[in-house]
Amino acid sequence: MQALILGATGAIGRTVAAELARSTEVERLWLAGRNQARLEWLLDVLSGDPSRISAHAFDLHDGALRDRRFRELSPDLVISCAGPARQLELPCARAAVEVGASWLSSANDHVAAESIPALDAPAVAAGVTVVSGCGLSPGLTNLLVALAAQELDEVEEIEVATTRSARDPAGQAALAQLLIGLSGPAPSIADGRRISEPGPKASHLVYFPEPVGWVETFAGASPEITTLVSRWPGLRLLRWRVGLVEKPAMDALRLLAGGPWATRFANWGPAASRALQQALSAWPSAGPAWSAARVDVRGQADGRPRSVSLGVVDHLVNLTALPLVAAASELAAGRTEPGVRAPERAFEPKSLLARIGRRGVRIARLEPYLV
Amino acid sequence: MPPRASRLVTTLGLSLVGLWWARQRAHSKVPSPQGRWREVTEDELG
Repeated sequence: MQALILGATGAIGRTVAAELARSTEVERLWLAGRNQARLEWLLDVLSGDPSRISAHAFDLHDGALRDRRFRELSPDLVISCAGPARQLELPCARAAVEVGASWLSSANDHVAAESIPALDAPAVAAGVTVVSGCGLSPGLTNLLVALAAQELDEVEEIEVATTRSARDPAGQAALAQLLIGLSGPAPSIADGRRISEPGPKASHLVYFPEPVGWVETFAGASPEITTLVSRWPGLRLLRWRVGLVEKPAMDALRLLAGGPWATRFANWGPAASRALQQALSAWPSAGPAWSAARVDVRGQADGRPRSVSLGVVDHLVNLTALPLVAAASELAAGRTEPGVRAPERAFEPKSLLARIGRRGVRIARLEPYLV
Repeated sequence: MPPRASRLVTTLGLSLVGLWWARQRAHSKVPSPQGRWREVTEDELG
């Protein structure tokens, strides 16, 4: 596999680069980012064979330059850890398909996700696979839903919840994206109909895997609402919720999300994201900076109602980067069908989750107390 | 400190303490755990 990593100098990109640099499946690895100095530092840290790993500094917002670089490098697989997804996901994925490369990204923007299906026909024609959103959420959450659904004969309701710590070092860009996701109406499915909940108003306590425990969550917008409903079209309920482990930080974020500037936050650049994280992490809090996800899938099994709850807990960088690394291996092995595929359709959930588990992210099942 | 100012400072201080205490009480009311999170083993994932 010859892979190009976009956003290689970010927290997620660095982890993906480090994992793939160690992989024997990768013959050639190109690292792309805006900052030449940081790319050189990364190359030095990876201390790889220069004929195998090299760095290329260019701005993805420069479409002509980006397309030229893609043609020059001609990768088999482009892995995007770059953002903001709302601006970059579709044009970069299209550029990858045009040079005959499969696309894999950590994108978690619901607006960007709705534009990606337009690449299905070109991807099929090129014989490549496009998997947009294969980090934590979407990505790991989709796989957990698919795994839980395998235990049911009929899936009726799905609830996805994620939480992260404002102090999680990899959470800078994630906080910015969270702000954008909370700033508009939150699409969901209720009583079998698609509705829009008015943003982060009503709270709902969710019990995540320990040591995270109970976190107050709010309705938000995420690509799972689009992809899961196409996989299970008869859903009665589909909801996505998010919260920060630190309640004061979440209260402040919700306040910021109510402002008219929130949806334009993506244009403010990394300095604004850094400032936001520093402001939110200033709140005193107890405990380590963990992030977690939980899915609840309810339906029928053997003619009786059944509920399956699965979860994961780890640092955000692991929860986001390791699914990307595992998915890259699957794509390199050519075990996916060409076209645009959501994670739950592109990959066999048990196989991919086992691969992710071997890298340290373990799945947990909630066994309710019977009271 | 004049008596009026002293009373004002005392009242303000006690109010702040009361607010802090009420907030601590409110945030301490979390439900007990919903259940036990058990790891899904590699064998279960096939």
